[in-house]
Amino acid sequence: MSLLLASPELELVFSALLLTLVAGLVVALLAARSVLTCILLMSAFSLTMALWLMTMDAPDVAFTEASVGAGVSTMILLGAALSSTDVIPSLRPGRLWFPAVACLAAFIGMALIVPDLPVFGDPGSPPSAYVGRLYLEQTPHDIGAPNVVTAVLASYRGFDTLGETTVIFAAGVGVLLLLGGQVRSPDAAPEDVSLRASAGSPVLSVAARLLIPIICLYAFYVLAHGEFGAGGGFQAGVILAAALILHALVFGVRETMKALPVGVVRACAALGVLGYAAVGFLAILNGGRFLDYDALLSPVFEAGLPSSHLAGGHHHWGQRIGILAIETGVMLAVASTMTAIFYAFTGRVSRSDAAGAS
Amino acid sequence: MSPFAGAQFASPEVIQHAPALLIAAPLTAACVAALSPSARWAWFASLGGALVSLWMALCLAAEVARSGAVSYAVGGFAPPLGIELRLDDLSVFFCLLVSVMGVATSIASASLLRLELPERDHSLMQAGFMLAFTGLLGLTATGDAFNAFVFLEVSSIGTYALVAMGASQDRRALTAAFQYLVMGTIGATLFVIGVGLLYAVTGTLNMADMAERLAASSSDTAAIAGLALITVGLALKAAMFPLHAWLPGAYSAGPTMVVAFLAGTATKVSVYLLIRFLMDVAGGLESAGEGLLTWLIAPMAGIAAIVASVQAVFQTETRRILAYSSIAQIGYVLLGVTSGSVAGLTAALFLLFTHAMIKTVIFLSLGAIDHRGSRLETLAGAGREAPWTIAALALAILGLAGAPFTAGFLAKWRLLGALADDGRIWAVVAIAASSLTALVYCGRILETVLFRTRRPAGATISEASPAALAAIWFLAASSVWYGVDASALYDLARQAAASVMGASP
Amino acid sequence: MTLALVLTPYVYGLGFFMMAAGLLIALTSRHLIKRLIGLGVFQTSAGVFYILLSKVSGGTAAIRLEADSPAAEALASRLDAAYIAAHGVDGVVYSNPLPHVLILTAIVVGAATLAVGLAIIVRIRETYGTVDFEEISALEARALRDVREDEA
Repeated sequence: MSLLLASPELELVFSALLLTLVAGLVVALLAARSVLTCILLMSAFSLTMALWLMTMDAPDVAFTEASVGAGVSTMILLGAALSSTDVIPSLRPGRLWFPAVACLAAFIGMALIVPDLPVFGDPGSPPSAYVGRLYLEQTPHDIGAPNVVTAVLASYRGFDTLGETTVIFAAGVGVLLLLGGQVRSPDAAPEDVSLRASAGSPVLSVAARLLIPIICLYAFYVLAHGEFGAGGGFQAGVILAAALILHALVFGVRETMKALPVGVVRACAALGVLGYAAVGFLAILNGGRFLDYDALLSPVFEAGLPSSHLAGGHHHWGQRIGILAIETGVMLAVASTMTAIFYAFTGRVSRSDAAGAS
Repeated sequence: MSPFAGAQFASPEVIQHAPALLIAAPLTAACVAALSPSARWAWFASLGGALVSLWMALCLAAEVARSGAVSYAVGGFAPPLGIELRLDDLSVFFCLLVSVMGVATSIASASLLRLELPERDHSLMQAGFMLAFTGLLGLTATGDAFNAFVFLEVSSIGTYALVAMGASQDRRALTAAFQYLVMGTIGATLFVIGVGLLYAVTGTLNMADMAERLAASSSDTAAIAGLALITVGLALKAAMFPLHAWLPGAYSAGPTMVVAFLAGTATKVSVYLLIRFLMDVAGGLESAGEGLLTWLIAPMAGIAAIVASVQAVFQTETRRILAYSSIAQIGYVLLGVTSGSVAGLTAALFLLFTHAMIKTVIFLSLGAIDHRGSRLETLAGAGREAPWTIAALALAILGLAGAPFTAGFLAKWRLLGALADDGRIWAVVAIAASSLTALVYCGRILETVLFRTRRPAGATISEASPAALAAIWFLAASSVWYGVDASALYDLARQAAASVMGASP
Repeated sequence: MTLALVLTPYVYGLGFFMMAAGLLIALTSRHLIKRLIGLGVFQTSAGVFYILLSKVSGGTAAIRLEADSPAAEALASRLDAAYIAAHGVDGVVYSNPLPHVLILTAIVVGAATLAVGLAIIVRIRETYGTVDFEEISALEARALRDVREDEA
């Protein structure tokens, strides 16, 4: 996603300027005295960060940062902050100086090592010249997917991604444990957290009916397209969850929970992780290593399939099927966990509102 | 000689995949537990996951004893492109530690959960427990620095919520869990920044490859800064003085099964990573790892040993006493680790293992006798109502105090001997002073449970359930056994120490 | 490369500043939600550091192009042939994909931490009636004092 500015050096300057903007938002955050301001600044921080990531040739990361950082995180932050006090009182200065000095010292310490770090944009630095370059060279031969980030994420370092999916699942388990006591059945669900004034508005409901299928379709596009361009299971999962959340906002959480009960959501999250692990076990049963997608298909069967035009005649059906399978597992786990977290938060917030009102 | 030399626990086909199965089994169990319709099925799942992991850990111990370090290329990609699981004597030692504690906790878990939480939460608690277990096993097995960060988070994220679930008994669990979350996340992030600096210098994430490239690199300011950040991050996770503030709250308010498991494993695995990075990965950097060990960790460990023991004496809540005692014990272990000799490290590992068993017994039995109330007085005279549990508790407390003929005594004795041989008299004095202080609080606990009679109203005590008793007595009996004949565990510890010291000349 | 030499301390400095600022917010804010936001900034800034390592001057995103495609030719037109030969892969210069993969993981971990942290905060608010750090500390201290007085 190079910007194609006149010279590569100008690109570096441009990205340094964007990073300055990001850091400026952090300064504003330091000074902010209202929770709502903090949340909006955090959201702006994530969006600007996503722009900066585009200038750094990291579209996959930018996609994730925009959807997870600016989207989902902001939403659950708003959900949790709704009924807490907004003003942040200042700390007594006596409590501030020690952490402040420690952080300043850490900053100076880190600044001292800058001369020893790789030069910005240096193609010959150890990270760019060694393993990073090997991935770029080997991917067509080993994986056959044009998007090297997806190849590394899903295949070379697929074990990391399994761990990451597990982290999301663990967060879902944790949130359901802490907040889920009340959201087991749709009848116990809160009356409504939809945009109350406009609930039932025909414009909104028609728009939502049109949009939700399109968003879902887009999620599957992002999932399947991860091999070729920016995207993959995580982003697809977040988008799918966004469709469900839109449904809840327009038609009310109770309707959404009737269509998709918490128990089902929880089971889907577990099944997503389980499906990912199952691909690993299947590879072992076929005589490969854990998560070795090349072992998924028998060579005889694979020889019968047409070879990919991208891979210079190599057969990579095992890799492609494996990547698609684990990305689907990731999507399922992420979408269900996000939905479960949304259920848990909205359930709680309106409950405590009701308690506060009565 | 390793006690596992010549043992064969499974067919070669299974052993070949043991490193992956070790981690994948509890992960599968976690998913099954979350899916299971009833608490009982979730318990079976967690028990099954823990047992398979223990089986795999035993297979790996035998395999490492037979043919040296085991390397497993996940996904079939050789390192440094792929992620390597690498088990040598040191990591197998910690795998065994984690899986033994996991099995013991899992056996006792169903009855402990029934005492503390409503039944609808049990299956998710078991799932969260299995996820933490997966994370800790992954940490011991992985040979990739970034993968270690991922498993660090797998082991932590669920744990924060699990600790907060203690709120049904003690509302302070919530604030303790929040503090644990903030400190734990800062620790993990410092760790990942440190790994990033090492990556900036070496261009690789595989630990063995990293060690080689660090040894060959010319400028190493960034690498030293990276190691320092990793050290601080792991020190936070290991509750090393003065970064221990999160631990007493979390240990005193969390649900019993969670605390018992964490006390036996989580801080210990952080110590493992510290050893791995400072003595193995930094082995080639002439002074960096050693400098951090000698000038940063050792003094802090000495202070921890004394200060935390004194703080333990002044606590009024049973679990807080034990939490501060754990911080002091981490101090002893790190004093052994920093001694720089094989004997010192061996003694430290031996102490770490026995202490894990002892603390797990103590926390399990405290939770299993169903006493309402956190203060020590509520346990007065518990020996009469729950003789079997209290007998195990008393044995463990004796071990904690370092009474003769217990594993605790033997461990401390060997540690003091090794430190004296290395000429670290100040460390010997610190441990001796701390141990004398420990006699005071251990004596107080023993006196209360065995001889006191006046108990505050409302405190009820009943004998632990058979399953919990089985787990408690299994660990208590092993700790007694290692007090009498320590050779098996001691040999394992010596092999582990030798393997890492051999790698760092 | 001279411009890059000037930019290097600047961009790393910004990254390290964000780390320090995030850490400070996470450690000192009185509002628990702001603490979590600070924690998020701290985690994200670790990502900034990794991404800074990944940039290759004149490179493009790590999605493989055919060297004779129009996009690849447009990219190549700005660079010398020697640079491409030395640092390109099959005729195209790419940025390093590995840090991208790692930071994708880290972002997801950050969101997971945020979710669990917020869930704990919601419970804290329900239990203590406040999310102000100092008020909670005062409440806990008072509870401890009450217990002591009950005994006396």
